[in-house]
Amino acid sequence: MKTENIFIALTVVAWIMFVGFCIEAGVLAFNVVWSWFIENGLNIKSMGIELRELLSFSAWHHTVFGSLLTAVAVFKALLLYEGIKLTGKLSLKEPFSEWVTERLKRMADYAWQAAVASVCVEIYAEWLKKQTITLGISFDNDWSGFLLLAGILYVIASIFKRGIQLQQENELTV
Amino acid sequence: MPLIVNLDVMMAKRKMSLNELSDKVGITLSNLSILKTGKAKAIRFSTLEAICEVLDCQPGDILEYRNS
Repeated sequence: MKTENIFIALTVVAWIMFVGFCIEAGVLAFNVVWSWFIENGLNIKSMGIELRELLSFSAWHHTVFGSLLTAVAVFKALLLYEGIKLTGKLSLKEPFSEWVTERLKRMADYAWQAAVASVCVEIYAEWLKKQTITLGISFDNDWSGFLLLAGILYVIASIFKRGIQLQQENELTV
Repeated sequence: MPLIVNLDVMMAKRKMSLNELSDKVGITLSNLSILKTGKAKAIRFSTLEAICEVLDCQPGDILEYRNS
């Protein structure tokens, strides 16, 4: 399989995931805002999340927890958006450029922010469980994956920075 | 950079234009221009050898170390 085809396949998958996370973020944000006006809140069980019990426990906790879940989805969507831009414009003839390094750094930042937000969600969810609230969310250590991804992306960005220097040296060798 | 490229001086001495040197040495005009303006980061031995041959000079006539 040619590298270009792999990039196209990756772009398509990233677009699908990006749309998915955008919808998730939108629904979660709407759910938070909706709960300020309607007492029962939205039924979003289809997304694997049940926050109505939390809403009946405390509107304040519901807003904070919902906002954190939205933040995680937004960071995941932003991470994928940068990935889409990267795979769409990356040139294999001259891969080392400031633009690519900047995209990789941004992706690493978003992965790091998603990891931090995921940790907050998990700690918060644990605390809420102790208050005997059923959330209907299953966590499978999301944050550790994002933390690892952020680390790998930072390393790749650093390698690209050195690559730019080598490419410039090569271009300025007569 | 303390390394000075005196290519323009040698070209003036031999009364040779950049186009002519580019043709005779076999490197592009833009690369010669990079070398002449001192923007080059490195020079291949093969390029230096070709320039010295065409301009009938020594590498030291083209490159000079000036302690700044």
